[in-house]
Amino acid sequence: MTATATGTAVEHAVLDRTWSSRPGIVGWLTAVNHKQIGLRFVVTAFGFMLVGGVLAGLIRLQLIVPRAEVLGPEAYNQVFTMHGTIMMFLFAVPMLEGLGMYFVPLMIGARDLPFPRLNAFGYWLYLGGGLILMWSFVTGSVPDGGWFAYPTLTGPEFSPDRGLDFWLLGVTMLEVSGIVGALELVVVILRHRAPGMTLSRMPIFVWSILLQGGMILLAFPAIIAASLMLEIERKFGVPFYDPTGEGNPLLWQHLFWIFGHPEVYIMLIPATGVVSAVVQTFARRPLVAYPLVVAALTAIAILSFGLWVHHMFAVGIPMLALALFSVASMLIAIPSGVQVFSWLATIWTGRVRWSTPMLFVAGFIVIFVAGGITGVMVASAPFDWQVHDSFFVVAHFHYVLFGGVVFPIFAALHYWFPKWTGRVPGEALGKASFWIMFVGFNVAFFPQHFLGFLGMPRRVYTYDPGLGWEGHNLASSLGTGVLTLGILVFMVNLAVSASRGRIAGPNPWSADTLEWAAASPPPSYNFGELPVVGAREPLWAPGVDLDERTRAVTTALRAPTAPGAREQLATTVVDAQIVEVTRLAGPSIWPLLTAAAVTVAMVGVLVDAWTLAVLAGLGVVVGLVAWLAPRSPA
Amino acid sequence: MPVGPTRLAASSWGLLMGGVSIAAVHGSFVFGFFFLSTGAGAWPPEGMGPPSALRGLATTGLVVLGAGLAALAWRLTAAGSLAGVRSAHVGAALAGGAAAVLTSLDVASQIPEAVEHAYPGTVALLHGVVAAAFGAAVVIAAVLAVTRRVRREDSAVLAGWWLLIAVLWLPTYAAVQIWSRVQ
Ligand code: HEM
Repeated sequence: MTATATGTAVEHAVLDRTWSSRPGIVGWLTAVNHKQIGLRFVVTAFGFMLVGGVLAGLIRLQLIVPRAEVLGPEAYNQVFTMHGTIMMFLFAVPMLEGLGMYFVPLMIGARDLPFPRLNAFGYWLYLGGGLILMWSFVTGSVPDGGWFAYPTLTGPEFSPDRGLDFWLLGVTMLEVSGIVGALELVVVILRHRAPGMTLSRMPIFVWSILLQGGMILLAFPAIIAASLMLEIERKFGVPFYDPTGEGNPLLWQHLFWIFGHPEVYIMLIPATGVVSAVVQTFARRPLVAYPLVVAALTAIAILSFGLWVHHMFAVGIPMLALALFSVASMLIAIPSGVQVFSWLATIWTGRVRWSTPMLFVAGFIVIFVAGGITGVMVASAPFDWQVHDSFFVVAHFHYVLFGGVVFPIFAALHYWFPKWTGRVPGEALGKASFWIMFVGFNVAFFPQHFLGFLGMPRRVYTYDPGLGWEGHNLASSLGTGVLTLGILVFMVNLAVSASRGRIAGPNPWSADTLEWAAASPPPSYNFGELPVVGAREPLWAPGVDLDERTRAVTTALRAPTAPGAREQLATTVVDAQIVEVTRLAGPSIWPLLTAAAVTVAMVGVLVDAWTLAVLAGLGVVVGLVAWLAPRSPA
Repeated sequence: MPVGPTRLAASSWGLLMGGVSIAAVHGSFVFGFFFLSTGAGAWPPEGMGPPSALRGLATTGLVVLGAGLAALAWRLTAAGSLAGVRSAHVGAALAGGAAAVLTSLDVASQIPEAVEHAYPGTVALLHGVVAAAFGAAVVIAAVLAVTRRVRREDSAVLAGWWLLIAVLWLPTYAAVQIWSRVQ
């Protein structure tokens, strides 16, 4: 149990004055609070998911019958490239990081992320990168080199227009934003957990965000480096990937997949963290084999860095390396299996309430296991050679990505909606949305396995009649329609519930983690009296006996110790003992201005306006100095 | 309040994480340098070569100097000596500035041939990252010197930044100045 005494009304008012953003539009632009920024990530990422979804709809419309004429070959290349790019870079990771930014501080009893301005900067950078990518639609030079943008196809010779420049510069900004978010989350988790929340008492979702953060810090740099090199090659002709100048296109493939394979787990690990949270809450019992699940997540994070070559089995890799990478690719099935068995055992031994989030989780388990099985199939190099670049692969990765990531995200949106809005989403429409999506998804993607066996290649804009592909394609496209309907029902449900849903109270699901100890929606400062934790499921366990020192600190922090001081407890990494009180930065316009300068600099590079680029670059330096410069000698 | 200072403030943790990512970007370039060398006929090719050995040595000296001064500033902060800290900050800024100029010259020396072959391009890239890191070190030290700031966290950031510079410079030097010559 936690010690979260209420504090006086005066103390709450002072805390609120200290931690609130400024009012009005200026307040909105200068806001740094983790809940505001986290929610912005979630909402923006959802918006981008809808754009990516519309593009998916166009793809399926084009493939619904042979020789359809919805999209020509060039437009088809652009549409699948942007669909993949949006879903991978603009939707999944930012959405999960956004959930982390909102909920991790609440779950660990903190008041904000450690570098609030940096966090705001990360959001504006994300928006800027996203807008640069979207701008390509307006100019007509849409990226068309596939979501992994292999040179030499994407080099200056074969992709001379600006499309790929939008991609490279936009993606670089997005990845820097991802790193910024990861840095925040890793530091808050390691240094700002509530007293008593030892590593072994940390919620699994927090573990998953910690691992995701660590992976982002190590994996995203590879694609930033790769993209910078390709952009330099495109703009200045330096032959990093061009064999005529002793460059090598395989360098891109290595760097891309050093990022790209962990990327899949960067999305999957927090998604499974959501699953563990939901399973525990709705099975109404602690997760079975918590230590094993933590070990499994860690193992997945580490193994995923050893797997990149399995995307390159078809390029001619030495036999021994091939065997090693094949084995490593299959090994990852073991920790994934540990997680699945833990969830099943928790469900089996718990008293399950089949509410909407739990249904999404059940759907996830079924689809994820299927995706995992086809994954082990393609991890075998000879099988991979057969189905390489066919619709079998498209089916496999949508089972993993849609089933493994989107279903848990929808579970999370429904599960945490009461915390955001103070209202519980409707169950009837929620359940209906799940069933429609589940059926739609399987009708859309299951037949694609057969299309792969029948030889239908991916990334080809149409097909001839009489190849035996018509039925499966028709089913797949109709399934997409059903899936879309399910998503719409989900959105309508949340929109209606935001104003008409039942009042939630702090803990509508009787869950065990600390975010449910705060009011719904939480106040700007999260907790009046900072929580102290004595058990892994703090809200289900009996109260903690506070020692003198801890009581003195938490009591003192019921109000700022100096006017306007945003104070946060720092604790030790492993056993969360109090070490000091840190002061956090408050609202500032500089993160926005600096991110805007970065965006303008990128635009300058994009349109070859070099003076603009240099001036904006100087603007970035000025912005950073103004933002970081200490105001007074200390 | 019964609290004491930590050995590593939150800002240092942030820098550590950011530093890991910056080093990983640079590490990817180093990987590129060696990966391309394995497929290339000659690395460096006939008629091209690494930047001046003398500049390389001088830069290495400046890295040691700057890092030493930053570490000194950190220690002096703990001792509360404002004048000493400011001098060390100014010294670190000067060392960083000189090194930024030298590494920029390294970049410039490779640019004319960079469109012909991947070698000068990768060398310029490696030095470009280090030059930018030196530039940032100048800005940090200058801001601290001007604002007369002597907080432990701030000096720790500067010291940490110079550590990062060393992490970036060592593989650059080893790859470009040593490995290129023993080929
Ligand atoms: C409404 C649901 C979706 C549908 C109907 C759909 C459909 C498709 C189809 C048919 C393709 C293959 C195009 C081709 O190769 O010819 C494709 C590619 C792709 N999809 Fe989806 N998709 C959906 C959702 C998602 C989600 C949620 C993600 C990721 C989180 C995703 C990621 C990708 C990626 C990475 C590609 C590869 C693009 C490329 O080849 O460069 N999709 N999608």
